[in-house]
Amino acid sequence: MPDQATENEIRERARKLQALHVKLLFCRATQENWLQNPNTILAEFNLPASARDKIADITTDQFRAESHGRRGLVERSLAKTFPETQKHLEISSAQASFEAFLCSEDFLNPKTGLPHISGVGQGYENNSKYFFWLKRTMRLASADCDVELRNKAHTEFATWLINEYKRPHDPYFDQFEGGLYWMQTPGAAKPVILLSDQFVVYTLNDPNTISQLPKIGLTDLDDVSPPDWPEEETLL
Amino acid sequence: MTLRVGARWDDPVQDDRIKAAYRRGLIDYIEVNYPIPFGSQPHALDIPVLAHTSSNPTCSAEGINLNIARRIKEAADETDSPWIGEHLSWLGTAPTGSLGYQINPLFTEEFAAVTAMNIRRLRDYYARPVALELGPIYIHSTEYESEMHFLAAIANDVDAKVILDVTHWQIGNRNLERPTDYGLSAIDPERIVELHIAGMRLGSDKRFWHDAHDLLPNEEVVSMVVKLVEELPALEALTFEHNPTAPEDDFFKFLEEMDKHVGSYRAPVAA
Repeated sequence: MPDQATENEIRERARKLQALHVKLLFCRATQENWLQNPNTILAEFNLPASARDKIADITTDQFRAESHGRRGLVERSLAKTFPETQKHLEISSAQASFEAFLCSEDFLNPKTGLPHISGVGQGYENNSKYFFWLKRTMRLASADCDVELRNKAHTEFATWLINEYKRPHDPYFDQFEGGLYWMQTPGAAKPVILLSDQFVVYTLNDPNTISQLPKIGLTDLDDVSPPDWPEEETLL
Repeated sequence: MTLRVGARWDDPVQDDRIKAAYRRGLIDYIEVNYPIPFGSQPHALDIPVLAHTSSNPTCSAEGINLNIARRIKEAADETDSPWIGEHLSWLGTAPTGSLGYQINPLFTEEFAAVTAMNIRRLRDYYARPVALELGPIYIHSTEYESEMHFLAAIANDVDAKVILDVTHWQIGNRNLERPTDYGLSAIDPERIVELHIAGMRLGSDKRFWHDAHDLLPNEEVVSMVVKLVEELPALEALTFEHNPTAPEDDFFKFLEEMDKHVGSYRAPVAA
């Protein structure tokens, strides 16, 4: 084994190469910029010009195939969970495109998502990262948001959460027993949308009924966010 | 050489077919792919277990988080797995799995060094041997002659065992337009203790091949596996990887076919 200083130096160089290669696999904007001016991209990743030879030729059919396959796995997963949300986005906005998500830091950061149902902590799926990224990017918690988009995204994410709850799951998912609710329009006390764990949608206008929802243990979807999950040791 | 034949276990929905195959003497063990669904108990099947995972980023500069390694160690200790199968992969750019699936690393000197450091620490943590496996390959190596040479170098460096996934190997050779036997000679045959066999499919582009556990292995892969069983001096295990939702008839049909080919290398099965 190398001494600690040497190990740190190797890992630091490798960390930058890893970050660049992963970005090239998923982000088309980075691919295009790399083809235009690789030295600029290398500098962005704090890599020397000599590192260029370590990066695969992204113009080959082989690279395109791997990139297409990796992106496709994410795309299919999101299309399955958020079909109506994505249709709406295609029509209404380019700001929160699939491309933008794949190029975002949220996509690569496991801490921007929920714990996985298998009990291994955050990451290992993309649906929750996508929802929280979309919510922030499209300001879906703001009173002036696109309410139709908000309700499509919330309904589809709530459906996914309930389905995850119904599978064998980490205790974190117990909070979704019974279903989830949310204000149809942020800041407006009513109506409130409730998606039951039998996948029935209710539109609630009675303040008394709405006030009962947290008391009977239901979760407000707008209170769900990536948790401050305990850090585990890393073998370094 | 005594060979054991096993089937990969991913999900409790496989339990019935797995139990039936074991009862019929078609398999000797299950290879459990950890982490397993919360609350599932493949150990309760009372079938020997080989521990495996594709959820540790063994090649990551960020190191390996103990979230998953701890679960794998506990399971391997409980089942006394002779080794733990690990993939040479990244899972993104974090110590945990940010993406949910594996990415092949860059096959460069930095990642050879990083992988060797990670594997040594993982093996010390596990306190049991590690067997290394490659995923399907699409991109040419940029510094090593090939991914097979990278695998060989790591295995030699850290004195690890090797799982030769024959399907992944053949996918790589097809995708990179190499001869079918390319790369095998790079690996010390004494290190290969396990073979994996599964289906593969041609993509819609009609050019690139992909792993397909819902399909049965093709004839070429089967004949290569039979030859490898005959020739590899340290081989102990042959694992059939078949999706939990793939047809049950296919599962039994293939195990019966393999038994005809390699059954004579297995220890007699207790009635």
